[in-house]
Amino acid sequence: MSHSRRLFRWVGAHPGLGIWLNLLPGVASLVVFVFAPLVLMVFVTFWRSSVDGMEPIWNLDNYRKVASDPMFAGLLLKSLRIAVTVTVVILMLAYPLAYIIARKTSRYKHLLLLLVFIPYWISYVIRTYAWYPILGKEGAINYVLGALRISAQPVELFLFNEFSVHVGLVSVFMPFAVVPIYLSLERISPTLLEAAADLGARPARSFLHVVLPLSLPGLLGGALMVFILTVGAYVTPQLLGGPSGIMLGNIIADQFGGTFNWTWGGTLSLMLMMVTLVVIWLVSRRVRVGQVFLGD
Amino acid sequence: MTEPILSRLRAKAGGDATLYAYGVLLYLFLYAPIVYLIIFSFNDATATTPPWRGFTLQWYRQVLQNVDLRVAFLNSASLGVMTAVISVTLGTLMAFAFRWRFRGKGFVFGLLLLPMLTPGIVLGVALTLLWRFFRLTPGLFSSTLVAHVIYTLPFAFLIVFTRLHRFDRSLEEAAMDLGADHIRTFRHVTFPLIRPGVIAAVIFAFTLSFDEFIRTFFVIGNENTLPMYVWSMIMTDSTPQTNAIGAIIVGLSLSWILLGTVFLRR
Repeated sequence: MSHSRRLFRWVGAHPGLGIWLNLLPGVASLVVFVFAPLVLMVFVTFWRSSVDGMEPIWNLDNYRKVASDPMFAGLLLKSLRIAVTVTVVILMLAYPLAYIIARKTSRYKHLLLLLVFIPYWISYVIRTYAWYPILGKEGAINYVLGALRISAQPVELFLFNEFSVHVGLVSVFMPFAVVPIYLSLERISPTLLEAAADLGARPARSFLHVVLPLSLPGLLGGALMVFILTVGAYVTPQLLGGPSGIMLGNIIADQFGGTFNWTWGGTLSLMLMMVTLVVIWLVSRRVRVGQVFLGD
Repeated sequence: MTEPILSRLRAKAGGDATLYAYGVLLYLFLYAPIVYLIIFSFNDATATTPPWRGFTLQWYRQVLQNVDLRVAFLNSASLGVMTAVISVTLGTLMAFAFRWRFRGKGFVFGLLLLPMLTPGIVLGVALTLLWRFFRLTPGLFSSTLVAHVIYTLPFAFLIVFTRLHRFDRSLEEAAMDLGADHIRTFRHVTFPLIRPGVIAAVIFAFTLSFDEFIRTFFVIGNENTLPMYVWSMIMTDSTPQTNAIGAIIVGLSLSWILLGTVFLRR
């Protein structure tokens, strides 16, 4: 006990050392289990797939495939298009909601906020599955349409296509955008809006020139989270997509399952990672990414 | 003079009504599927779709008798506890270091955010490759635990760090001035102040781990977690039993949120 106490005191007297002792376990795990595996993944893209995964036989086959395979280009573009669409739709839906909650001063405010938080905590596998019996051929929408005699035949347009993938992704990932936008709106001082009004700005003008720029970190942070979650989505397209709603994530998973081409799977993952890094870089040119997450 | 004010008030009320109607619709969009799922977990039919055939608890009875499911649940719960303990410990230690200036702080912060900014499927692939490269056997308390700790670490760090960042450091200085050493200051001043943050981080990390799917999907090996089991059920044949499990998971999540908000309010 006295030994550890003396050690503790000694470390306390040398803050520089204490800092690195505090960082060591976390940084070591991040280097070994995040950084190193990602570097290994880059190496693997130059290797050859084999019966037990991969062999370090260096070649450029996977990159030739990237350059020439139209399937790959189409799939990447489609995943990007879906991710961008879903992100934009979510931002347009989430911003007004965050605005309503942030402006509210009544006691319902916390309830409304909690109601946004709750889906955030519920398994997205369950929340995606929940759309299944609603959109399907014998699902709730078709049941209602049939009961109201709007359509005699069940409509098969709602499930197993790109539409259902969009619906699923928007509903599943929306809370990830509402929360950061709300936090940035909440921080805007009302005196700024009063000042704008006193100086003769109409509400629309003060929104465009005061509120919107000040909520940009939250808006971009939310967009970033939603984009990353969507572009690499697996669960939603697998469950709701059918053959036409497949995204990059599903093809990546295939390489480690039935198709068994690990190095190609690694190459596709690397492409996904590159896209993500480009988007992070674009966002970080407008706001500091650290600022988005630390909120100051 | 009264006329424009009245019309402006009326316009404002109209605008507010539209806003509220919008809010209601959006909440409906978020909640309708979940509510629907719960309702049909009580449906006395083998299909999860309308029509309603009457109330039954048989699906819940089946859930309680399902041994595989019980194993998966216990796996998820113990994995969640271990993940939360490890990741909040690492995150809290790092949060303390981040109160100081040190060389490479920006780099360490970037490294810390990396697992949060990397798509889950990419991390799953990368860890699969690492395990295969070293010829390790993937499993619940090896690769899956690692994946969950890495995934929850940034969240744990951010929650504890914001808490640490917010309180007045002169409180600790006062304790030291009054003769308390580092240990006593930590025990009686620092820790009580950040305790709500630490508890919230534990609950949050546990929930994230309990619900985690995509990284687990890649690195779980031959074992099972609750989301993996639910996934296999959905993929083979979805019955109201799947709805019942879903409803139970929703209920569990709700109780954790309640716990979390109670501790965060403190």
